[in-house]
Amino acid sequence: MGRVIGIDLGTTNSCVAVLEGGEPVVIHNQEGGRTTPSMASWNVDGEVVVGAASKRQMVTNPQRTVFGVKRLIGRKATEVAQLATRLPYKIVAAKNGDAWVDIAGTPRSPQEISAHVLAKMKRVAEDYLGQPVTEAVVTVPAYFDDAQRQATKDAGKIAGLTVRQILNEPTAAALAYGLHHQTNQRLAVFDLGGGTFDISILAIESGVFEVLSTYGDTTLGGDDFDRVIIDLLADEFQALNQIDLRGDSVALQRLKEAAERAKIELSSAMSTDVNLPFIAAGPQGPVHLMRELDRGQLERACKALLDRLEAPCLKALAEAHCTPADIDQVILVGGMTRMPAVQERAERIFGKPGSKGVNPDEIVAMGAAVHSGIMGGELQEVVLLDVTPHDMGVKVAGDKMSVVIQANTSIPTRAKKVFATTEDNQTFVAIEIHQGEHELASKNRRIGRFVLGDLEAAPRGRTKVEVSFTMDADGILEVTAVEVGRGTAATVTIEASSGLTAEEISNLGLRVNQ
Amino acid sequence: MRARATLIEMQRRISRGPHAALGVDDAASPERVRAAFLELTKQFHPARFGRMSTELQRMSNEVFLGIKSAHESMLRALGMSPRPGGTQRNQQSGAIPIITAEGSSKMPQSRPANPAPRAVGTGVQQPMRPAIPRTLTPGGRVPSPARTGQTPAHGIRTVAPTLQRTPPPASTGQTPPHGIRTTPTPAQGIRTTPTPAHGIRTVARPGTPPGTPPTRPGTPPQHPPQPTNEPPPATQRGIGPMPHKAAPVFDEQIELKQVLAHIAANNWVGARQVLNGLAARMPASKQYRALLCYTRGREAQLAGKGEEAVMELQRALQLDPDLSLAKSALDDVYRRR
Repeated sequence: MGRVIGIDLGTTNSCVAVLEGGEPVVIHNQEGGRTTPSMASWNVDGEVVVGAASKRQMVTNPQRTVFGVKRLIGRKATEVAQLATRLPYKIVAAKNGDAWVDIAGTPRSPQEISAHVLAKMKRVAEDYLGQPVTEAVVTVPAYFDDAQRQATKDAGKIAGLTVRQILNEPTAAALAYGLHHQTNQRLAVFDLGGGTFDISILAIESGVFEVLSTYGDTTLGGDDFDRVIIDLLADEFQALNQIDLRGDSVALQRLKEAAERAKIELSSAMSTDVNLPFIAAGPQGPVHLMRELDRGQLERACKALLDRLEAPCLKALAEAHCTPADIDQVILVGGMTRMPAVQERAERIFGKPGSKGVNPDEIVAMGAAVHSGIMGGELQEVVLLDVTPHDMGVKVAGDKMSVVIQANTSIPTRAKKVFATTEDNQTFVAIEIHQGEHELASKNRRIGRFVLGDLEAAPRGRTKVEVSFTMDADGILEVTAVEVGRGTAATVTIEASSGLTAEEISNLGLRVNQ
Repeated sequence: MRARATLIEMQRRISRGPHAALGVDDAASPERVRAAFLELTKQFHPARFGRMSTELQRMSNEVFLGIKSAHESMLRALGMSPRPGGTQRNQQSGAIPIITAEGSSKMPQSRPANPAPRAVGTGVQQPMRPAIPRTLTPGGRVPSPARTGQTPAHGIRTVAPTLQRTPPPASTGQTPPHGIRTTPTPAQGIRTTPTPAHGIRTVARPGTPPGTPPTRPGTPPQHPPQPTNEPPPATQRGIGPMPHKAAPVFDEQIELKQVLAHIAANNWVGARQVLNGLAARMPASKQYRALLCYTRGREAQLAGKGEEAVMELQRALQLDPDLSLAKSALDDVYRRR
């Protein structure tokens, strides 16, 4: 059997690791980096460059360089409309409403774009291992829904990888941490990455890593902190020079790069310089942006974002029936947890500082590699019991959400519900599946819809349909439905609300892997 | 192959009930039960089979669901929560089991005399109360009585789920420990159906042959639905065309909850509104008409109109003799006379 690699497909950076001698090892890419920017650029000839090479193009090729596509994957164009206004590349809606990226006139799906990044990580691993790689464990934010997970799996497929498991990032981190700290304990994993925030509470007992609860915010991450700095600088600049730098895609990219650099610097230094000469052309000639930024200013500007970290943590603790005192270790994951203000908040919430000796950029990939060992049998003494993060249910009359699988149920899981027809002689029922916590179904994410046909004609309410929801260990749903009490079978037709068709996936596979 | 044999052996154990499944005896403590579950999880979690054939993966999924179920029902019988240090997660959103979640609300058929208190709504364990309590809290904070005939304490008889009418899977002979017939589980390593699962994710992408429809075990296979000749539109993964007018389903349980909430708030008008809707949609059911009479009776009683109250409440009991709301209201009226 070939080797299974573990890939952390991050919003900003990706990382790949493999299990060697029972230990997870991070693999360097060709440029010598242990992480690879999750970016892809198309040049004028239609050629694609990925990773650091793409990042270098970010400023000169802003409309054809895609970054942060993890914020788009599995989502509808309408859902990301706000985000789209701040991006230098163009978001368009696919036929089914999914958010795609228009690159020089060609619409491309986030699955395809992510596939290029995954393909690069695949090549990195193959160079190191000296053999082809076709299987991977890929991580996603714990708070990702069904559509986002399936889309990530599809991206793997396009890249030529069979994704053996979609693993939650905080859980992966806990696995990597717990491999060497196997005493029975309670962990809190505080994962603030480029695009998302996840908080998971786990119990380790007898080698079983059981997730007790998971909450998060899929629109809170490092990019948002960058955005605060960009706005701070651009607003100031606009007041002084009557030019909005955000209107020019090249200026915006330079500003973004500078903001990210300043943010990182201010994690160790108390102040830093932002230096952007010739950033714009004013009526009197070129205009420059030179400014000092200090840590206090940054923290004040980011206060609203920092405040948003607390609520999910409190919910997770409540759901896990834990107080902060019950938590033995807090694991900080994701580059943003290097920011002192973020560490302070975590410490304030949990009453203890984060565990040292955890590499926040690499631990997730390492956890994915550990999981590949669980799957392959190299690691017998540990196993993972994860949960689904959102309620999953069916839309019923009155647009109500009828929950079938509750959030924080351990997976795999199966649950059933019986529904009745509402009209006389109703020969089919149409069942809409939604995922989310809102009372009204339409406010929750629609995952799909299926129709159970050929029902026996009967007065309303007589005909009953039993719907069975099975969620696998990836957190992806499978639905079956049968007409209750009848001897003959009914037809089932399914329509997924988002994602690519099999044909699209195989066509893209050819395109990406030439 | 060793994996297959291990899975088959585990399936056999599961079919013998929760004790056999977990490998513990009757006197096992909650700690012992949990330890057994954790050990089995290490062996049988589907991740262990994640690199094997699809068939084995499916089998392992079913087996693990069986182990989970056994664990949950054993702990419930001991009055504990399956989660470490926590109270019981309520799998259901309400008290009325027209909607059943696997392993959570139904008692295993082997233990009809030992009802575990069923946490309702709040997810907090309640001590057992007498079957027809004097003071009633509609909204279902009182756990259901012991009878497997299912009249929840608030006295509203539900339309029993007709799961029991489903013919048992002929080739498997499996009774999952909770007693609920699930979709046929593969046994002896042989899949009884090509999985009646038209998963949203896994099957029936356009261009692939239509999946076979769910086959009832013991019945001859039916013709697969004939797909139309036109290729399905790009977004569709299913077979055949989608009907244009989709008929909704409704969840009785949610509406019933509303009714009980209105009753608790003495909002008779509101309760009757929802009840009229329910009665119209389920004309065969007497319970809603009984409840309508009950609301009128209670309203009359509270307005001091004793005679009218008695009339309406009696009528309610005529329609639904088990309606304990009506019984206790009548009891009240008679005592005050």
